[in-house]
Amino acid sequence: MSTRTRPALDVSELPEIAFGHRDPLWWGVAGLIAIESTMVVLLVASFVYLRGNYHEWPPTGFGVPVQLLALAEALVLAASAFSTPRTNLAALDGDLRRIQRWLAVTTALGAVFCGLRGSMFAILPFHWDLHAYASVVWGLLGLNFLHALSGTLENAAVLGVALRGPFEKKHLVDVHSSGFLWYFVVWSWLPVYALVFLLSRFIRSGG
Amino acid sequence: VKLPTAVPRTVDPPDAEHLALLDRTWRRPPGFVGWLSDVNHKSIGLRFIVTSLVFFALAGVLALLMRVQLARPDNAFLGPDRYDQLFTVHGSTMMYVFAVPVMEGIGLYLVPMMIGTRNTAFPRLVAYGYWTYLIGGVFLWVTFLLDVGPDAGWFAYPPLAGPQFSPGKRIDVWSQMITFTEIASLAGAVAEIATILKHRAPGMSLDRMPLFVWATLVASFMVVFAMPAVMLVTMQLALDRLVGTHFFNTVEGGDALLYQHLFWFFGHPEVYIMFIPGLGMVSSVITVFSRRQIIGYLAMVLSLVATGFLGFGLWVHHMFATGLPQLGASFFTAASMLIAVPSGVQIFCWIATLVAGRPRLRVPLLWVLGFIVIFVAGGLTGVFLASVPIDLQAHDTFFVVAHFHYVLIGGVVFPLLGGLSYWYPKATGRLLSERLGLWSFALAFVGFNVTFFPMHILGLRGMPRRVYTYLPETGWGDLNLLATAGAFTMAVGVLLFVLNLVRSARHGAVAGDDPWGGDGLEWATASPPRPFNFAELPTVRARYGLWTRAVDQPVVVGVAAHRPELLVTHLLDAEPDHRTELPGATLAPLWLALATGVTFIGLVFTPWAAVVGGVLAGIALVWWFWPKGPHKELHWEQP
Repeated sequence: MSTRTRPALDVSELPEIAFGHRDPLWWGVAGLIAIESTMVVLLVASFVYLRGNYHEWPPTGFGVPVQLLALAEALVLAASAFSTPRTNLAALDGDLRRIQRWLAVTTALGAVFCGLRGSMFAILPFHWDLHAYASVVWGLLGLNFLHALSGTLENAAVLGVALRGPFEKKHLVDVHSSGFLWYFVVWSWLPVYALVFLLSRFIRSGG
Repeated sequence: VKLPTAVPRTVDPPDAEHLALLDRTWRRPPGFVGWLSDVNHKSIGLRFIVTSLVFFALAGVLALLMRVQLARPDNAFLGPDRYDQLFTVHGSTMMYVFAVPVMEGIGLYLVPMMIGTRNTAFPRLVAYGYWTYLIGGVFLWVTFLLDVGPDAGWFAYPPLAGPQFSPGKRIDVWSQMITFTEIASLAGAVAEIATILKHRAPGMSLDRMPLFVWATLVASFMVVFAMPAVMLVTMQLALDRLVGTHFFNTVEGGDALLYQHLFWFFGHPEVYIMFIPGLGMVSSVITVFSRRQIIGYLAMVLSLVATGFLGFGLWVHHMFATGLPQLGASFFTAASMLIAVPSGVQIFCWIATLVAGRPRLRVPLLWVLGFIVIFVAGGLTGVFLASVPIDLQAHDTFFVVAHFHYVLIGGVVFPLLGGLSYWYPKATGRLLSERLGLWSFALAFVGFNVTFFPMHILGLRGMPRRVYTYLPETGWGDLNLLATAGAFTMAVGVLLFVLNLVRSARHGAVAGDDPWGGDGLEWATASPPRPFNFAELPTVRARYGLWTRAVDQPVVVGVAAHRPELLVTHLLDAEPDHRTELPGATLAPLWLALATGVTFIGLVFTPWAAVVGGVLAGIALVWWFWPKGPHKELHWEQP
């Protein structure tokens, strides 16, 4: 170790938090999203792949009640895509009241979504063990349910900190990150919803 | 918004009081509980390395048992059932429980020091990864010792691994073991990516990163996109077996080939995930022992990145024998041959560096030279196998066994042993014995080739893999006996290596901080490193941070010493951006790993384990993240 005086780069004036890709936590969440997105994409690939084993596709219909539930779910999720950016902007502004308000809205929408999905599981006209199509549809619904449930619990936990405190400055970054994660929940489901519930019969068999 | 920038000024060196403060901040709490709650990257990295080396030794013993069984025809040393378990647990341990975790461990240990920081970005996540990995590895081996070990090969294809042909719990054990180890790899990979992208020393722009760090970055990205495939496919297999889904049940519209596609979408990148860090070690060793800069740094980096991308485009060459459409097969043949190009570029760069430098033939370099010979041979048989007609002939024969052991032992184990020899003095403060090292290298190199070269010939003569014995009339006996002799020779070499590791820890020559004249920042730390790595956080002005350090190279000041704080820098040019506080030591990762363990081990028996484990994990997570005092930087308006 040197004993001389030497030039130094003093970083003590630099801020202690940063948002978006400047923040290491953002990269952690981005990694998690990449992992889970790969799971979703590969499960969708399984869905399309299994199409080749059927003449009739989908082999079993959903029926009107399930279709309505799925539509309601999608609308609730789409609505949360409007409340999330408001929460995130509030975090950037450091406005605790707005964070509380909009995060409560997103959390509530998430809870409603999970409730709707629970009822859908109860009334789906087929079980996972009927055939491969049923298995993969249950797989897609189940994986997305896990995403939505964990996203909602995460939002609820952050909301708990925002409501009860002590709310540290670094929690602004946590609010922002959980918003980032919730975007994933929304955007990983809406295309899958469209594919499975609306466009499924347009998938052509390869062979 | 104009942010404050770092201010240049002059400082005095840190005094003893400052060092004591840093030590208090970064060292783990005392006692056994403190040991369990440690989140320092060096402790976790070493735990990964030591644990995976233990599993390596265990799986090596299985290999020797298999070689004893195959040493002569009609041998009755092992029965078919035991033999099936042996090769499955050998392969699964080597792939999932040894090769990936050991590389992860070395990355966790070295990368923060190489980039000039004090810990990984997510120390608790990394600790959680280690505990899940440990549970998964122990679970696999306990079931194996209880005679309920998996027995359908390291890739467990259905229908053989499906509910109809593999009743019982053996395959469920396998699929849950995968979940454990892959969670660990994913946690480590995400932490490495964030650490490398955000915590590099000021001045270490991307094009100045050490090649080992580049290799770790590329391998980590590959983990992120490849491991989900195996988690998904083993989960589907587990569901088929546990709750009667039909993903792979052909009778009900499922597809066994879907399993192979998803598995190899992971399985092929997996090969690169294992040996790309090895390539990084090779570059480190060749640079320092040639005593010159690597030739073709840019080409090396681009080759690593290209391998990372191409590695995802050749999975189908594992499925040539399944009757796929020819056009598709040709595409994957082309891709498989293409990936030889970036590997070749790196080999040429290494050879050029050795030729242009003044090589010192020390033990780490010997392992690397051994790597070059073996890996090139394995690469060449890989080019053979990329061709569909040859693959159809050699598929499922010992030729393939020979090929992938040349690639994996050549590409993973030799660089690993070279890397361990090279960085051992950093971790222990002592040098390995050069004489023992020489013997272990010579025995391992000769033993390896005597074991696996004959397998090429055996394969071409038609000996299938995964048979527990063969008839005398086949004429395979002599070469098999030779291979067995080679295996024991290699085992003695590895044993000497381990002996050297253990003995030198106490009796080796004292190494000093930088025994090899190293090029990277890791050699600027003490040997063994202090808990905080660097007394003064470094800056760099070029590649090879230590070699190119200026006499008046600035240091970073203003990062708190009384709490675990890291400097965050910009992604591309590593300019200082902000400071961030890390979480300290805690038992939370261990509790969460135990909850994960309850979940996945329970899932072998009942789907309700997911519910119970989910609740336990939820409790552990809330405990982990809930803010606990003392609080600082309170947001201005408190609720």
